Amino acid sequence: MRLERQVQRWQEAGIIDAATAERIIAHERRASRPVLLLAIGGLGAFAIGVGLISVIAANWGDIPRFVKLLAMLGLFGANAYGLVWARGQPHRWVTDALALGYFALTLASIALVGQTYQLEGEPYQALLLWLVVGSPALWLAEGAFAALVFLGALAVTGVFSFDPLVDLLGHDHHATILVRASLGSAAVFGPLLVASLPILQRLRPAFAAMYERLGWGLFVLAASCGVHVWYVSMDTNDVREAWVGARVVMVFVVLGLWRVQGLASGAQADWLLPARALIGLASVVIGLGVLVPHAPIAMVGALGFVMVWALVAWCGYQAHAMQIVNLATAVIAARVFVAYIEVFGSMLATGAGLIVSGVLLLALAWLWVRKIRLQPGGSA
Amino acid sequence: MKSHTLQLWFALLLPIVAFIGLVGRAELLRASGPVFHVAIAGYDPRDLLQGHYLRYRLQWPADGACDGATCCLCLQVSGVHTKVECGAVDTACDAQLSRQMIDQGREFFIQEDAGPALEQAIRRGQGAMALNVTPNGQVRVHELFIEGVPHRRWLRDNMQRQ
Repeated sequence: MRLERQVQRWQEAGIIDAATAERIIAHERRASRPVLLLAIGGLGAFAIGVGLISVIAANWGDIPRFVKLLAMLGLFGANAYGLVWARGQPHRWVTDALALGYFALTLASIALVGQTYQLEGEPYQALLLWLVVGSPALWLAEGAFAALVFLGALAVTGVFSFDPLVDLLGHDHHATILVRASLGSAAVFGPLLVASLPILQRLRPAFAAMYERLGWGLFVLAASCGVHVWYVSMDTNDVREAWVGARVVMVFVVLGLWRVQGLASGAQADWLLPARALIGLASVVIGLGVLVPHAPIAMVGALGFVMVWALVAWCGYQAHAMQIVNLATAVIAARVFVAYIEVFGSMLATGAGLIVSGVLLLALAWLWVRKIRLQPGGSA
Repeated sequence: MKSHTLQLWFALLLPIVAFIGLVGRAELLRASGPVFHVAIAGYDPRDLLQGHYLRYRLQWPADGACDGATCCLCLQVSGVHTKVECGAVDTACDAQLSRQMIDQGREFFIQEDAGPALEQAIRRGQGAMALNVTPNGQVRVHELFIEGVPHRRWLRDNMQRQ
């Protein structure tokens, strides 16, 4: 009804004639989907699926183990047949959904063996096996969601592997720091490094694009948090402990600086310099905050945060991604305001803080309007 | 095209082969020695259940020739288990379990509605686990027995009695 009213208004305003109005309404009616019908149908199918699972679960203990194991083989067969059939189909999402199903089924099969035979292994063993034998099926998918699922599976496996890795490296405080630094660095830099692989960009461009977006997001988040290390004091003991993990982090930083050129969107080399500056300078500020003994210097932390987001804005500007520039400007403005609250104290300090943050915000607004928003394509 | 087909079949067959391998290995280890019935107790006497799992540990027999960290459980097919020194060669033992294997907390998957009845039975000391010991000294659990019968049959009989 809303469309009809809108079309009628356009017709009355003389924007379209009666024939065009009829064509628009006819086109929109053809294109529209029976959403309510689909929702009710989907809900019914979902209810039947959950009901079947519940009935099977209620009698799970009474089902002989060979029946369960053969049923799992049957599910594997049906899903595999679906994947072979879907190869010739035009809808890629069918293959993606079946590949994700196969990946999930692989984990279910490992859990089934564990439950059927009352095995008492560690969860990380099952998860590692799942990643090794299930990932090739995930590679059959081409959509970005499969890439996200793989990363999720990897993250869960990483979490469960933490303790075994600490045990492997000697089960002491240094081993814990080393494992934390390794897993943390892999989480922050891993997606970017993987996204820069030419083979991934060629064979699974959606995977590479997803990992690149996620990688930058994770790095900026980590850098934004990391610079706040200047808010706390670091004594010589803290620094000595930090050096244990620093070598691993440095390796990842160097790899990041090197591989950033291989990122898919790095074809326009305009933003390569700001991207490297972002990785390098953020790492230096955080590195100094962790590896040099110091008292709390909040100003450095706050300026480090603004520097990170200014570099993000520069990257966005060079890559002609104005939404990133707008976001970075908003974050810097919010941080400047937070900095004012941080210095809130006596009337003099409050007044000075208000004036300085107000001037900074006005300068930021001026910079944004004059230099960014008014650029061609810089729609706010 | 050929490489795509190879990749597809590799991706499809790898999980199936791994699944069959896991099942085969579990079956082999399950059949790798005689089955013993060992009495069990709740791992945490206040709380035996955790979700769908019964938390338990194997029980030491009351009497035996040793006591302490070097003590092992001597398992006999006859069902008469004793405590022996771990290093000592005892031909009467069909298998031995280390103290660590005995004292370790274990979990057994049970039906959702079977928890309270099984919990009571184990508190009364009526539970035993059928298991075998693999060549490398690991325990492979077969079945939970209550009053000498498989727990599912015991639950059915129990319901009929009520």
